[in-house]
Amino acid sequence: MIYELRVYHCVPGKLPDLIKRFDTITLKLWEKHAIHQAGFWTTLVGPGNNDLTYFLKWESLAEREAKMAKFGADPDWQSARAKTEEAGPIVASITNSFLTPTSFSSAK
Amino acid sequence: MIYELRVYHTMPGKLPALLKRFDEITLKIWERHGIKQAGFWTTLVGDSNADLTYMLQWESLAEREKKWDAFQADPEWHAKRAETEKAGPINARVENSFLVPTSFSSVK
Repeated sequence: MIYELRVYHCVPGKLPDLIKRFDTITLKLWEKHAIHQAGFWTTLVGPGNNDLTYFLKWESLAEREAKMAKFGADPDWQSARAKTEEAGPIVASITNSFLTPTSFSSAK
Repeated sequence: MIYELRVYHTMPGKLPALLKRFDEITLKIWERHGIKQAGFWTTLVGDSNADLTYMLQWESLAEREKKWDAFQADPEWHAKRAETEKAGPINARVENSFLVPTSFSSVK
């Protein structure tokens, strides 16, 4: 299994909008595309209180490539996202990386 | 629940020594102190291939303070850590932060 660690750095004041979008829009579309989350967190103590950190779980890079491309091209996602950003962008920047569980990891 | 995200930036060539220490020494001592992991990962694609990323799970900052201090003061940990670092330090630097799961997180 490959874990994709994604950190969204929000535009100031927009973290609540991002959280609402995941909760009411994005996660439902991900279900349709069989994209699996492995946790979502906000920051209690750390570099940015505007950040959302989350994990996606993939069987392979090939699965990631195929499913993320379909999700990105989904007209439902494109129109819903556009609506949530009528007042301006929500996310300022994203950092992501691919991580592999160690043999002794409780998350496999 | 509070998640502590920890990223260890190891000295060049020392990531295998760090993995071995967690696998054979640290995790056993943590069990004794009631310190719970929530996943360990190495980097497949990201900032550095010498990093170990992991998460600890805490009920509260008070629990973290008490258990981490007890672990840091543990004579077995001191002795075994010193043995693993006879040839020089393993870690160059550690980054950590406290994260809180969102309402829709698969990890609670």
